[in-house]
Amino acid sequence: MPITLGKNNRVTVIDRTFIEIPPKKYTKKRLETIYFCWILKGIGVDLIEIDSKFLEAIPKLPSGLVYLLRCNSKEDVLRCVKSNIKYCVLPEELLKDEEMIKRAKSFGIKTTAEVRVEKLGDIDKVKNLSNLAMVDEIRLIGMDSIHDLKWVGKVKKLSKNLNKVINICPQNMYYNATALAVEAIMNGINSITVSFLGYGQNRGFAALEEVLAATKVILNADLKLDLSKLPEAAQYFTSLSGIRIPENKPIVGKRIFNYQAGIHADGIEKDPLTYEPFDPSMVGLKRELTIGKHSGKRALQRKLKELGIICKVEEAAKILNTVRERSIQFKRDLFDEEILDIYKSLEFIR
Amino acid sequence: MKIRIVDTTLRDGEQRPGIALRTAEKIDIAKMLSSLGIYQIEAGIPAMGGEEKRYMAKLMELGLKSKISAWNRMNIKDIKDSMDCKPHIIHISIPSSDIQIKKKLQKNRIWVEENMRKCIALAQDKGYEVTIGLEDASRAEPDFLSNIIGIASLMGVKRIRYADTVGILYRQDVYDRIKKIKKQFRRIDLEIHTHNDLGMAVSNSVAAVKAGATYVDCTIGGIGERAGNCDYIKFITAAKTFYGLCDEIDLKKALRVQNSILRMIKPAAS
Repeated sequence: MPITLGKNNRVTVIDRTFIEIPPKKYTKKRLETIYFCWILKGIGVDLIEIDSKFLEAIPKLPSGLVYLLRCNSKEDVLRCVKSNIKYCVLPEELLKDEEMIKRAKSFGIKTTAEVRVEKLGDIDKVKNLSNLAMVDEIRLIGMDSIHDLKWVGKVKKLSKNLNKVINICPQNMYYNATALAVEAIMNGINSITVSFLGYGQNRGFAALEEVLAATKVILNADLKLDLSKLPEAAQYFTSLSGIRIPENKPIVGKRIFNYQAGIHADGIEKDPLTYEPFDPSMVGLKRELTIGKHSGKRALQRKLKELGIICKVEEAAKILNTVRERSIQFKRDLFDEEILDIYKSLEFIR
Repeated sequence: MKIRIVDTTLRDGEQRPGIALRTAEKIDIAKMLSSLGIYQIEAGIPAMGGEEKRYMAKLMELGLKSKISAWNRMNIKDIKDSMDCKPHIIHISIPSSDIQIKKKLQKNRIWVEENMRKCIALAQDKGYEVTIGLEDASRAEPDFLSNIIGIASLMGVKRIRYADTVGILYRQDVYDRIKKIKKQFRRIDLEIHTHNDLGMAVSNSVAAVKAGATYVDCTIGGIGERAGNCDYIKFITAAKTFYGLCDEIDLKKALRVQNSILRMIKPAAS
């Protein structure tokens, strides 16, 4: 289901995670692959981009999903036919092969040409490429160093002149990919290519989960997307690729909603909105109060309450120093048992 | 245009749950940051008392090349704690959105303005350079932000930090907001403080620079609350590419320093 931002504004999302996982890393687990694909579909992905290596590993494609095959040779066009894939991507160098494009079209396969664009000026030059009229869509890949909103107007003009859908696939060489993809959606570009976690070679691409969450949060639009399955998607991704996800990775990091510092704990206690960009449940996570070097007395009182000890804030204040010292000594937050031990030692002194 | 980096690894970075640095480690990190030519190190929060205060005072004795600043909530006690440590700069965080003012502090905008005046005056009377942080500026009423900046500016504050506290801005938005403030307050230097909740902290910082901000808050490895802050090396890489800014910074050396600092920050095995 495309992202729907209004009656006439739908954005098609293509995910290229699978073609980015190096074959040596891909564990080829069929069930996990199917679950991962299904979650991607559930959170807003319309087409899943795969390549011949994926087809070799998973010859029987999971049903109910739409695939896009990356064709690196003429043989790949036949693979599309064999596997009943209706869409293919042709890298720029294959665009010269008129015969191949004709062949794909004769089988009813929709073709997308992938064209590299680095700078703003490159967008205007795209129309000069040969055989462009033959393909159905055009994907602009790269765009790393474009920092001027004029790019949107140029892409729209190109789309109008060629009468074709233009897909945007920003790369992340200068940490701008998510911003570009979000900018595309906000300004009426109706097709983007991303990858889960932004995973990919050369610093990767726009991160699917960041783009979707940003669209939801910034536009405050009811996109009918359920992002609460993202933690599951993260687990499957790790299982399929062996790649562990940092705890503070935006949107999917396990501990992004942990809080501790006195001022934050105080604010979140009164209203989580004070220090959270959105409710953690939106992305399937939970907030958690941790206790450590930066805790304040009220947060400690609250933690003790969670652990079944009702005490006055003054009493919590008495053990705060020990809690902080212990946290510095261990160079981490304290476990519940450790907090209880410190509290009990205070009782012992009394 | 010269861009100055304000490193907040030792304040916002350390604030990330799971990180607890010892005094000696914080001092070592400050020395490394200074060796990179970082303009300002936001070294901590003296109001935490005890060890944090002792560390800040000790840091000042080293006479590092970087300016050292202390972070303060908008209250007299915090500022007095900071003054005990004698930092170069006293930074006061002003809650500026109604969510912060009403929900967290249960106060109103008039109270904020009055308190801010008192706090700035206290630090300035003792001869400190004061910078103001607009906490949660991205969710604040623009007119109220103008009021705060206007008051601070009249009191002689020269630099304002625009904080996207919960990381919800996007680059066009940042550009427009910074440009507007810069137009209204030409003489004020602007500092951008971004968070990476939606994965756009670096893009947003670059957009702010494009709009006229000349100070950028970063942390090593992008560590910080929730999904972190603007990553120092990533920002430098982007800034060099887009505008040839920060050309004087040696990226190889910065990478070495980053690795040493991140090794130090990594929690010990429990």
